[in-house]
Amino acid sequence: MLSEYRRLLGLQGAIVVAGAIISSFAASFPAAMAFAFGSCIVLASSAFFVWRFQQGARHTQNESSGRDANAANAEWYLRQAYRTAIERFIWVAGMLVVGFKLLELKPFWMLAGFLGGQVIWLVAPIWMRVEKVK
Amino acid sequence: MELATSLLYIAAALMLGFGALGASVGIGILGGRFLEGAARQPELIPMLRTQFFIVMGLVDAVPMIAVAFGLFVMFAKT
Repeated sequence: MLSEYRRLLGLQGAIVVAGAIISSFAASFPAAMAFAFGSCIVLASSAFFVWRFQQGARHTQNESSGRDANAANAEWYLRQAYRTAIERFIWVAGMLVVGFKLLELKPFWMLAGFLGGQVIWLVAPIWMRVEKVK
Repeated sequence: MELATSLLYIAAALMLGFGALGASVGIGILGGRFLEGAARQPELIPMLRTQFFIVMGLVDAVPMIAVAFGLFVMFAKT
């Protein structure tokens, strides 16, 4: 499963590089910088998500089996997932504000970069496979 | 001009608010279903966890786009 997430991160990384190159030719260097910044926000957010997923996998390996352990595991995953959602929301909103207001990057290109990265998340469930439970 | 700026702020607030609402409802339902599944078949928790994370990424993606558009309207258009 981790390889699927690595593929997702790789695709987002490819979008950063390809989009920055295309926008530097299509528009200007500041546009390329804005595009790269926008897609790097998504890339960092996805990397954080994958890190949390890995933490969950490690937690499962460490836990002993049994009914109570399973219930504790489920509760722990849920808590981690909610925490991750809030942290990612704060990260994305904060970095977008930094890009728009503080760095004053070109808004259209930054938004384009962000959307480019985020669209990968929308299409990811098409190719992501879940391994069978032994 | 003043009215246009005010309307832009209202539009941004609606986008951010409804985005957050959608994400919270979606993740809430997802979390509830995950707990239901985990309670019914505890041996499937690793698979449910993986599915849960994938769908959470998907559920989170659209409101994030709404947030980006909202902030774009708020900061870039005013």
